[in-house]
Amino acid sequence: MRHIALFIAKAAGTISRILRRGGGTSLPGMILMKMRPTMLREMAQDLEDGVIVISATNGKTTTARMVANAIQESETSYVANTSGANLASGIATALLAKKPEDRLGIFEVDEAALPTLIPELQPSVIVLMNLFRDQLDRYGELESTIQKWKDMIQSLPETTKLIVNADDPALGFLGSQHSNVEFFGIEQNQYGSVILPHAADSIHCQKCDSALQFQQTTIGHLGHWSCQNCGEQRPQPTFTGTNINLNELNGSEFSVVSKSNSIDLEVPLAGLHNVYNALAAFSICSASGIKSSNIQKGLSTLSAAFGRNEIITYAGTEMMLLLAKNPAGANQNLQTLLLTEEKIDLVISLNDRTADGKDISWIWDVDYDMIFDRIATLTISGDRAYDLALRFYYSDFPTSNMHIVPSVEGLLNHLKDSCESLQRVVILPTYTAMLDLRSQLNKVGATHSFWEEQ
Amino acid sequence: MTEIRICHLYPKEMNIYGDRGNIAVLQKRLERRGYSSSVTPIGAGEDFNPSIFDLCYLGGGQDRDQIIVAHDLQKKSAALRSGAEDGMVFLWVCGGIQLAGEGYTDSDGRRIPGVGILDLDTSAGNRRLIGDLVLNAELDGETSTLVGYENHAGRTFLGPDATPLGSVLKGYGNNGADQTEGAVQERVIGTYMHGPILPKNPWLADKLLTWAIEHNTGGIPALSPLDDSLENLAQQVAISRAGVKR
Repeated sequence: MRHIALFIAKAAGTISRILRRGGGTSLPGMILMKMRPTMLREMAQDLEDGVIVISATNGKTTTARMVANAIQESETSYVANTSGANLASGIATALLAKKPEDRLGIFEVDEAALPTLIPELQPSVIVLMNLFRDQLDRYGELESTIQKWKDMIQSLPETTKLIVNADDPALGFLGSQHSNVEFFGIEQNQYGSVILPHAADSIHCQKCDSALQFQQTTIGHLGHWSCQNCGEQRPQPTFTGTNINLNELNGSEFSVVSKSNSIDLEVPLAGLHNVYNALAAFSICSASGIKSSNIQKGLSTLSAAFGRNEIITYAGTEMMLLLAKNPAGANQNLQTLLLTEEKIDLVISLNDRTADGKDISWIWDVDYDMIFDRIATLTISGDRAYDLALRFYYSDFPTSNMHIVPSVEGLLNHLKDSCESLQRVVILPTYTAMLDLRSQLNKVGATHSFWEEQ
Repeated sequence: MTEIRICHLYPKEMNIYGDRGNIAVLQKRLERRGYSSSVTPIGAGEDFNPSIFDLCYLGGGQDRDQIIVAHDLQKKSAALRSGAEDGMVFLWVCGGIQLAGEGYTDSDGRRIPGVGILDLDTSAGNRRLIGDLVLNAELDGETSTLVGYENHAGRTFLGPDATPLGSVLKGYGNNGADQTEGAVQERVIGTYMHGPILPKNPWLADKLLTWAIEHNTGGIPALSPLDDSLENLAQQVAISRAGVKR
């Protein structure tokens, strides 16, 4: 039965790709789990070196990719869901493609699906990076996700190692409830702030409900936090990111201090969020016994995960794609754009499909205003382009400098027509807007299909 | 220059759906007509003085924050009721409509009292009502289509003193059963259309502003028309994405 199920599911993936019905990144797994529900657990148990699971609102795809790159340097063969299909079906599909020599699983897991997938995957390492408000129509309130993660952590066996971002107040508290835990976090630095952004979420103490104090915030509510009422505070990290230097849109350098040694890292992806991602990846690899030199090499030779800091050339113009699908992620992308003095030709594409979240209220929680004076031209696209246009209009962005082209074909034509005058094109798409854009770019030969990644 | 005084209640606790968009729209639509405006945030533990505001906004929050706010509102409810009696304009959305009513009974049967400026009562249902919400609204004898998004567990039923803001064309509205959505009583409006409802419903925004200016000056203003072409396009797209044909 096991062999029949495997055969049919694999065939479905091949047919799906031949028919161009998508990458086949979830369908085979979906079929497999219908035929044999225990299969995910069975396949995960076949991995001798265990399973690493990475979950977060933002950064899980990039971090999983960083870990995979470093592990590749150490010549361990692994299986991973690199295309970003991070529900049970996507992981099962990845496991179907496992090669006989693969010893390790590296999976990014959707934050809502995590509690139900842990018993299936029985990971040796679980990495919890951050939780921000995201697609409230789909995920529900942040508090309910935190509660589910709390219950999940309580039922973890001692042998499962947790690696947790100490700078996220909710996660820092949750991590402290497990004995086999290591924390990572970044030192106070010149890129932080003392003001909580508008869309800060975890600002109350998980233990006593009092308002938290922040000595410094980095991204959203991440930072150096403490509760003056009950004394709960940011746990002391095992892995500390320090000496951070963000090199405009090119990447960053920083050091990780752990116990007695300090390792310098270079990451070719821009922004403080990628320092967090790299620090998480370092912590995972280090805790898994990967040599520092291999981690250094794996991180410095990294290419972007698709749609995340990815550079695509179209009509002779380089365009940077920065996926922006929730307030914390979008704000962090805007902060990153402020690292350069250059004026930016900004393109934002807002869709409202299931994978984006059908509720687009969140655009009002994004602090777009911070980059108004850096915008050379603004182009607005997507299913809900006019809602986005209103977001800018009511913040006094001049409509004369706003081009509204809802369709992806229209967007590419507009970019082509104005390519002479474009300088630094940065595109902030939601998830399906990014898929649409890539698929359209693929049609005109500017990029390749996402299932051909790796 | 007439200054319209807006109170934003609990902006820290009740803000999860981009509620500040509504404040931005109110201010800009005043500014574009030559009125000035002020926004005063009032949070937990702070006093609410009903004599210094023309319009009071309350948005949506997480359950945990809504409970904190419900308790704090007990201390402000007399002042809020006196404001409502005096003709102050209220727009309370999402969790706000529940807090404006007589009370909320949660899934464990616990009762959280409301402010009592809308004759309605709410109890928790067993599943959340989530999705696009389109309604035919009526205010001051005028009708208009409104569009928004709802996400709530509460089932709200109106008493005799409140009238629905509109009838549901798409979505669930107050309770998913009687096709009503929202509530209006004097100048108090509650609705389940959450977050930034005013950007693409300029008719509603201007209705609130007309009332707020009247509250401030005593006279009914004739608001000059604005170019609402973007607003109308956004509304049409939202209505058609919700699957309503017109």
